[in-house]
Amino acid sequence: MEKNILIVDDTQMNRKLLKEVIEKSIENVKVLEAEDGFAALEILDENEINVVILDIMMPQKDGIEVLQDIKKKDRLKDIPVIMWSAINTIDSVEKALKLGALDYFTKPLSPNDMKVALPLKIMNAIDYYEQKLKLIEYNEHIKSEMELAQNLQKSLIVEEADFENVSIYGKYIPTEEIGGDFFSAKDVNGNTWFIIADVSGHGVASAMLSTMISVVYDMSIQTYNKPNIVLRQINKLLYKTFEGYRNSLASAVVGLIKENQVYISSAGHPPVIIYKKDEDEIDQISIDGFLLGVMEDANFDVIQYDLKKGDVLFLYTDGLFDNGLGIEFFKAENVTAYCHLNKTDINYDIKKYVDHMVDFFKNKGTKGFIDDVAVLSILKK
Amino acid sequence: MDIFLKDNIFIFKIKTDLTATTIKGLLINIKNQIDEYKEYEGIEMNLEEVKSIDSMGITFLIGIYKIVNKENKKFKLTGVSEAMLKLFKTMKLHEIVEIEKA
Repeated sequence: MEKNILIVDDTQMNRKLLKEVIEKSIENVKVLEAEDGFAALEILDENEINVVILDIMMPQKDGIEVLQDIKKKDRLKDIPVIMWSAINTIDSVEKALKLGALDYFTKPLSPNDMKVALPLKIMNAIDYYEQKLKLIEYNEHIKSEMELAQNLQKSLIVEEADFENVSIYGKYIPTEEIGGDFFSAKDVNGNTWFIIADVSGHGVASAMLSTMISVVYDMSIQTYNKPNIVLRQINKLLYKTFEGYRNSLASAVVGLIKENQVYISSAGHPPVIIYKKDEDEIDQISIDGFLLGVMEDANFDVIQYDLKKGDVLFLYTDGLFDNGLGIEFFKAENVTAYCHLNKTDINYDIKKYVDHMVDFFKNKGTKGFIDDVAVLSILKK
Repeated sequence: MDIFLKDNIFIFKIKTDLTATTIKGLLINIKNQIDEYKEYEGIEMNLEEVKSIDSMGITFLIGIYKIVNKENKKFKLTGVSEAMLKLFKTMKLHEIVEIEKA
């Protein structure tokens, strides 16, 4: 495909000389000319230009001003600009390069410039622009795909729902467009299942793994009636997956609310917090369990708790308390401590309570959240 | 990381935190060592100077364990603090990996 090269110089003889050099040494190019900065900008607006050769010293609108105008426009800012200038304006050359000009050469042109240097500089600039356009296109494609993936992931996570026996409210905050944490709550045959899971790392790989967990979980809760068995199914799948991909592990809590009982099983996940309304107490439910994908035939424990009207379960992933400061291992205790200190607010507005909790921990570190965060509250009706 | 070879057991003494930012380099280094000397009989990871560990750090340790376990070789964590041991017990890591307290 023919490349368009724009020569901008107020001296006709200079334009003619450059045009001859370019047409003689580079194939498949068309040379356009502009005698001043205004004409140059007009040609740039109306044509697809691949390289601009720009004289610095021009009346009314000099090359620096033209360069600045080019760099301000989204459509034009990536076009390579080669400045050319007399030696005694080296300060201007420096300024031009700092403004983003790709290269420069000085007047007058030597025979070597005409034969070798200038054609090579222009061909390099043409290649550079081609690569840059491909990169821009690729980035836009990736961005668009990530947006689709993000919307898909968001649709799989229901942050707020009202069931017959419970209402849920949660928040999901990935560090990148998509992440490896997720939670879910569903009514199956009049009972409420819930899960919160955390795939280590974040980004596309973690998101894919968490989607796999979500699918196996959805299928298992239709078949089994114990959370520890559901975890076993998830574990079997992940063990096979992690045999070939050792860069990830997962933790999870799966629970089942049946009438006034909750059954909870954990795979190496931070403790579940329970607020008992009648006693106005906060309790921490810690269950030891293998991380998912570590041991093929892992068994998981299940514990049973009474759950009365007004009681609230809080589940979260370690991104909530991991501020990267590395001071303590058991920062999960900080979450329980927070719930304890603020328990009087739980009864007023559970959504505000969860929002405040998330804000509190986000502001605790100097960099905000450094890992994906999921928080889920379950209020027993 | 300090590396020793004693009675055909690699001893890797970790001197940084075990977090997402540090593990990549450690993993490459360890893999290079065990690839170069396949006659090793086991790995000991000394965590005495590790002050912080996150989920990627745990993934890293279990990743090394799985590599070694696949070759039927020994794996041990040493210099483990009380707090770290408590974390490992939450994940039942002590049931599959030999752990020695600091």
